[in-house]
Amino acid sequence: MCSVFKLHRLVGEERFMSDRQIQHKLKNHDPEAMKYLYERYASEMLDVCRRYTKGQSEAMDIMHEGFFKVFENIEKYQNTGSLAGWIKRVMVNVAIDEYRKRSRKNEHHASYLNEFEKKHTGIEEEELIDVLRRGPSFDGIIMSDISTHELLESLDLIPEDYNVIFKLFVIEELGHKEIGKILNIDESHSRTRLSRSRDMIRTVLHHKALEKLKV
Amino acid sequence: MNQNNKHIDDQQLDALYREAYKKNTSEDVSNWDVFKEKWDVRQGEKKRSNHNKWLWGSFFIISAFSLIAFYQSNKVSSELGVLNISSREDHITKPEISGHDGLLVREEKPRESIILANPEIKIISQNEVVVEIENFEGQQNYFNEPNDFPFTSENDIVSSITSTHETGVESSDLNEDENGFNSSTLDIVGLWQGKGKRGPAKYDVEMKLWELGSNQYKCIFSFKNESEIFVYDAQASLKDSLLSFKLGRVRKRKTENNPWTNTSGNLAFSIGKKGELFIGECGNSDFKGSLKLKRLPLGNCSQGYISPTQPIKNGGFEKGYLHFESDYRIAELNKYEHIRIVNDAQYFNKIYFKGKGDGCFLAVDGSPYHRKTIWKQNVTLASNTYKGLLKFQLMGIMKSAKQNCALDVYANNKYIGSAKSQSQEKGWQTFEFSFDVTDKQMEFEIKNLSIGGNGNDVAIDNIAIKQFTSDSVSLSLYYYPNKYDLNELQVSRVESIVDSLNKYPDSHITLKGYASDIRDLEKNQELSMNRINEILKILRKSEINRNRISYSAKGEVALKNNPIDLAAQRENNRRVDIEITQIFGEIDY
Repeated sequence: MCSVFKLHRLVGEERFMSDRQIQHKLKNHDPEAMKYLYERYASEMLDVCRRYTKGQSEAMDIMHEGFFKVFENIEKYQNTGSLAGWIKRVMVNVAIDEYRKRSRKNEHHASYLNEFEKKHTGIEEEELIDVLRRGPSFDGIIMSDISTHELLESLDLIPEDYNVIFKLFVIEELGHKEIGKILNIDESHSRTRLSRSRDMIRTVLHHKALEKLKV
Repeated sequence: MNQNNKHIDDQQLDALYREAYKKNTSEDVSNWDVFKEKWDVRQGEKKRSNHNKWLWGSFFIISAFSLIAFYQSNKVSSELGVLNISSREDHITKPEISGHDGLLVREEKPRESIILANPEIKIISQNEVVVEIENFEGQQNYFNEPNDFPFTSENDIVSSITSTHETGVESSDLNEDENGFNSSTLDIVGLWQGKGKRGPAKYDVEMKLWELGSNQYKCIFSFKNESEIFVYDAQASLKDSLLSFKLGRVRKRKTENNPWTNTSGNLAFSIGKKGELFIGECGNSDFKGSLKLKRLPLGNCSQGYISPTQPIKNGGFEKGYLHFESDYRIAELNKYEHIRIVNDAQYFNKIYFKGKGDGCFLAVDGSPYHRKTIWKQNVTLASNTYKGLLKFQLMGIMKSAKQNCALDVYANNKYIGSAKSQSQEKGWQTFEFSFDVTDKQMEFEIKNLSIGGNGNDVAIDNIAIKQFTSDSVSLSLYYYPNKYDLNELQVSRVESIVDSLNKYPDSHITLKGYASDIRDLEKNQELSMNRINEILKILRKSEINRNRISYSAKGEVALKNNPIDLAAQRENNRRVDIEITQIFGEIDY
């Protein structure tokens, strides 16, 4: 009565290494695991780094520095969140360090208005403030069909101090407490800057929209 | 902030930018080789820097010692102190566990122990039992290492089970026990084999598993070599995918011809460094080694196949009056309307009946007045069964039968056919009745329609069900970014698919290729097609008919709105889904 099940069953799916496996292998300096981790996350982390830099090569340098830190400090990853999240945090920290260095060298934009005026001659400060008060129309921005590239470009037009806070809060979804720690500023200071950065972005977008509609 | 709805508020602004960043993924220009080069340079610099630090450190230390020595030699000229550095072992207190080489034999032996957290033994599917280890450095391993290796310390042991059997009943067969369990009547559902040792002696080690029903399993661990064999009986129960063992009798004998003698023992479970599961004996003072079990591939098992259980229990009546119900009186001689399990009809009633069977069978002395149910059983079918066949053998046993006995067969109270017995000279006749599976649990019934005093006496044997199963098998192959070539493992998987397609000519294969959202749409469309093409190459090389293959390149998969697991989402999107449908298997009697 011994029965035979004739159906050949294929079992399971091919699996990728889990976060803990990767960490375990990296602790032992496994070159394959390093390559695996790099190839798995490099493109995503390059996107993260690009948010805080002006060009591709600078972003690449920051990403490489970030991966150096990841490989050298892998034992500090505590498995409380995803490895991807941890790596991203490392990348952001490296990028912010670079930003700080730039800040010290005063390489970033000196003044929002000065810079903005350079790009949009003929707009008076009073007018900007007026726009700021009225607020740009959401429909107007949408209708003017501002592209993704233009949206991101607009962000680059506001001073880096504000730009960075906006990105950390909105894109990286960090809290003011954390942002304060990273940038070495007060929590309240971070809130004020975020609010101010949003106002600046609104103004820039409004003008962009107006320009496009005029055309 | 302006509160007018027409003006962009904070949330709208944030959402606008989140969306923009999501769309703004750059082309993947990262290159491992470039990074590796930089990494090597950095490591080289680091080494040099450390070396320099060490040199400077050494210089300062030597200088400091020289200064101290100079100072000491001036101050204390006679006594030179000797620094004693005792070995670390001198300070280790060995665990006080007598006679067991420091292995786990605690004062309070657990009477029953469940294998906790790691490892978990899971019944993955009905036709396959897999021991799976989860949450241990994220690895999943089977018994797949040929080495034998001991538990080296108490800490190595995750869990142990101890024999609770005191007296034991002798039995002649390895696969029998005092509870009526006889493995020859059941199908083995799991078998693991490996090499092990106990002291200096080496053993072939086996773990076998039989399904008893109601999530209960019979398990036997055996340690065997040329001169002796140890057998551990265990009862296992499955709950929440966790198999827990309760160890029963432990017995041993020198060779097959010698009688069994009861002994005592413990089994211990441990996890190897690579995540392997170790199962070992740890109850003897001379124990120094352990074993590692190896799971044999499906169908490649000399002891039997991994198979589902025959759903009809005790269909051959070898276990007596177990597992079925009847409206007839049971074994009440000299009364009509009664049934009895015999191996020769003359033992039923020498004057009126005759006829022999292959082992036991159910003899029925029919009712003169009532149409009654002879045999009834509730059956659990395999979950993927779509059709079944109920089979039994029938023989008239009345010496002077003038009429045939008609039996009606029902599945879940639905009539599925009738069987008429022949006279006993014609011997056993086999009848089969097809039924549709309406439920996983079904009740089968054999009723005696013939009433009267002559000819409605019949013998029934070997009741069984043949299950027809339909199945679809699916798996996914995953890829690195911008890659479509298959690695060795993936090629072997596709080849096993080819085997299945060859084995089941009615089956059909569907391929669906995907790509992540990095790079532009057209390139991703092409990439997803390239991934399919690599698989098609193997299928075509194996001459699989094109009509049996469907494929579609789906291109890139949009990301879900969760930026935290972008990498995981993209990783999951770089894949080809393979599905084989309309595979039909038969489960034999």
